[in-house]
Amino acid sequence: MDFTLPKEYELLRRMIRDFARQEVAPLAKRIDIEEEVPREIIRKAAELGMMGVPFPQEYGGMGAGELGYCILMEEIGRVCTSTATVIGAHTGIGAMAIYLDGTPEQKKKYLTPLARGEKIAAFALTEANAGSDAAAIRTRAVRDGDDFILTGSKMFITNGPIADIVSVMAVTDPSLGPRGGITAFIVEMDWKGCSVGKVEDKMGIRGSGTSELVFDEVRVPKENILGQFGAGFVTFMKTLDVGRVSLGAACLGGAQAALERSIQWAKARSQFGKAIVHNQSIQWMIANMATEIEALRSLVYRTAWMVDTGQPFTRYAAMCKLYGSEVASRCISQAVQIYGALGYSRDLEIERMFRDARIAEIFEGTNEIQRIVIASDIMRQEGVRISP
Amino acid sequence: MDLDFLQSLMGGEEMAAAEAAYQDIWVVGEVSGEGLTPATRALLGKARDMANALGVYVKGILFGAQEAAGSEMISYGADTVYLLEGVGLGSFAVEPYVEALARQIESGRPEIVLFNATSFGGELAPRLAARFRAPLFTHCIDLGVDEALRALLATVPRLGGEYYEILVSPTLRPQFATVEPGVLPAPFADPYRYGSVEHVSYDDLPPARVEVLGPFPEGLPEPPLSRSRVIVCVGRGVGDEEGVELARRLAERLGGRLAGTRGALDEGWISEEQLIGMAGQTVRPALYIACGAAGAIQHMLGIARTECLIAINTDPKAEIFPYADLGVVADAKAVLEALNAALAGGS
Amino acid sequence: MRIAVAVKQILDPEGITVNRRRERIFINREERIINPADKCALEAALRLKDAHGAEVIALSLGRPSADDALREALALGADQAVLISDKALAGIDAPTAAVVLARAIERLAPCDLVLVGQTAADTGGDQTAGRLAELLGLPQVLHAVTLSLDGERLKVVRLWDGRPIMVAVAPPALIAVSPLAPPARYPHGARILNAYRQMGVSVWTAGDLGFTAEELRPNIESRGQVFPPERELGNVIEGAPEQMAGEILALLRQRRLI
Repeated sequence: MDFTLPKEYELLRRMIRDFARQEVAPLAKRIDIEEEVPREIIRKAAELGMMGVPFPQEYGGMGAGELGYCILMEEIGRVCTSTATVIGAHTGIGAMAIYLDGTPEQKKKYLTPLARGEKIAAFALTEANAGSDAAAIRTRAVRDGDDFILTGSKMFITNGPIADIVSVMAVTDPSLGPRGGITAFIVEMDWKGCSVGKVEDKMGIRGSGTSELVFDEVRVPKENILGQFGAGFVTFMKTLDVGRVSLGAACLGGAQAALERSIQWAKARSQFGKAIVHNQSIQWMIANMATEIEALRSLVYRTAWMVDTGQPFTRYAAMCKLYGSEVASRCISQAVQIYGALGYSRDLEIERMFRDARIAEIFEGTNEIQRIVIASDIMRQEGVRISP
Repeated sequence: MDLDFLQSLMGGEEMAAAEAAYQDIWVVGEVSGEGLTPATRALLGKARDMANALGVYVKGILFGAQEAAGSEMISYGADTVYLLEGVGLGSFAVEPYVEALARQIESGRPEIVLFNATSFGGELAPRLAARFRAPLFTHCIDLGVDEALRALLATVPRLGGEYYEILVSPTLRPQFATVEPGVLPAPFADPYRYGSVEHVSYDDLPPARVEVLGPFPEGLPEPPLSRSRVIVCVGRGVGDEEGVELARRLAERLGGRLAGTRGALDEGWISEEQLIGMAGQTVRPALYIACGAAGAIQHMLGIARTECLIAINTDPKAEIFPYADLGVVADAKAVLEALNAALAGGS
Repeated sequence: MRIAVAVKQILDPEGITVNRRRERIFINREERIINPADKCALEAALRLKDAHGAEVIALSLGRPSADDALREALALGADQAVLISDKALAGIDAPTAAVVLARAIERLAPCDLVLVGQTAADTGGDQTAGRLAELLGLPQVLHAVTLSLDGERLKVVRLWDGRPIMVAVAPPALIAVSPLAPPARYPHGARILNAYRQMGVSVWTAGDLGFTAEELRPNIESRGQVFPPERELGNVIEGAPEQMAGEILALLRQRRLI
């Protein structure tokens, strides 16, 4: 059993780590204050292939699979959660839906510019009345000849303000419910009738734009049906599933950053005549953080391997997201405590990391939903169908 | 005893070796406006010491008709000085200089050839060492001799000077070395020393293949703070804009950059990019001069890897002093003024 | 145009700490990297390639792990990579290394430029460039910062005793690139993967280059390490500003900082 990362991934990690440290980290504070990830950073990242890491090179991607993508998300998550979120929503779910269920023509037309970072993607499922209850969406797509007329609005869409191409879930047959009544569409935001609505003012990841997307009788050609007609539920479940693994990786990066900063501070800060690292309480905090991070690391990368080798991974992906978000929150909260009053000051990055981390337990499927996913998957193997 | 019997006693190899022995220590000198460069003088002093230990001569090498400099080499310890002259040896160029020196070395067979570790020495020594299939020790910070082996002991810096290694070449000759200027002690000149200055002429030297076009006026782009070798940092204690300007000027004179603490940023004296510390940049300069900075931990974390920290503060109990190589209790602005004046004076 | 670039893989000096008091060297983090000046040389070659088109061949004389350094060179944009590695080459001294490298470079198709890093960050060695130039019979430009092609000649901004000057040389030539030159670009992710998965690294042994064991025997010995004195911290002085300035300058001179 060989746990070493293949050499090309080590070099990839080193490149991304250098990029994150030199290009992104110095801007992290400003990204939070100005509430924007500069286009320049996205361009630089795209030039190195970082906007399409898991996608095949034939579609403009890097060809590094889920493993490479988790490495990217970990290293970027280590320095700036907002940037990781922008990339994550773009690659991990927006473009990913097209990669998983798109036709070769759709991949050529849409996935390629997205993988190259020439266009930005978003994934639009959530609505005001449909959060955890995703099946309760009301955005309608009504057939009109060969086309569909899309009407409705989506809420809390990451990359909403900047997206060019959106994977949208809409109801095509209200009588059928989620199984057979929902279809996924690829929508271009510059089509007539598409607009960006309210932009959210958030606690954290303020550099990542989250907004309402409004569709006012948008004409969508039938060529833009994503996946099987009526099987949109399957498309979005598949996409969210795999998206959870890399979200876990981003949380891993954040937790790792919290640990590193805690260690740095514990070494440097002296109270009562010695560095605080000599206090058992601090030692235990560090040990606990490090242990959880190691466990999360093994979980995330093993799950990435499962994705890349075509094994079933739904349960483990949910675990990555569930455990990752909670470990990140715990570690960053612990870091604030270790820093004491300075950890509360906006002069340092710790408070921003604290605000940034909280959302991970909520978006991409709340941790409560993740627990249901995990339990359902376990019980399914036991022959028990958990009622929704 | 006839030669054949002698040979059979000694063994043929040893005879051959005795005939072809490398002997004497040579110093390739450099000249500036006021005669020999201080580094060359120091090199001669060291060569003299080593030559005394080995019982051999010191010979100096200069390029061009430098009678006065030649005499100066004698006063600092050379026994003979060769002035290499010829077409192409007027101003420095690699091809004719290497060729002339190589021919001189071939005929003179020195055991040790010393250069200063300047660009001049760095251009010549490696090529000559390659030509003679000989060892070369660069940037030496000390030289010695192993008298049993009659070999040069060279102390060279490793990891950018974090430690040193002593190297020796037991058999290969000549041994070439370049010595870091300013490390050897300044020697005494003895104007009554006796020695000879000889003119050596070389013809048919190869032409230069690299053309010097001139100085590069724009200068090089400033390295980012994180890679600066010298940083002058201002804290609140520097007092006012005037003090900051003095610090900026000092930084310039020292070939470094201006930076500051949180206090300086709050006063509007520096920009965010110049902030050093937890909320700003982490730096690792060879020299960091902190002017009027108290030493708060947020600042100190940014300079943990400084090689030489000098702190100037009016408060003798300032937190920064225990971490400084040199702590100066004085008004930062006044010291900055004095430093600038001293450096402007050309000392 | 064909450009050969010699790169050396070293232990990252950032991962090494020297404890002066205990007179020991600790390797805290064992990571191997391309010597920074060599990476600058690679970047200089790639910039010429971008501007004028060129074939860039990266060579490395080292352990088998130097394969990673060459993959990185390929990922950055080199077209070919050659690893010179052999048990017989382990422990060779700097002069012999230059001879081996020179012979390897001669074995390549004729090159217009040979680029190397000026200084090795681990050993501090900076004689390889000059030795190579002499062995290959090439003109040399050392401490180069920027290179540009101007007609038939290469124009180089280089440092002479720390000051930038401009020189010109007609290829073929050897250029030693200063660590102060522009740092290397980031390699494109797809190129990183392809460098390992699709591209090859030729491996040459000492035998391939025609060296005998006798020729490779080291001639330079180490007599051990010397450690500088520990930093003495907390030395505080007080006095008139002029006097203080004098003390500061004396320290700077003593430490060879000015």
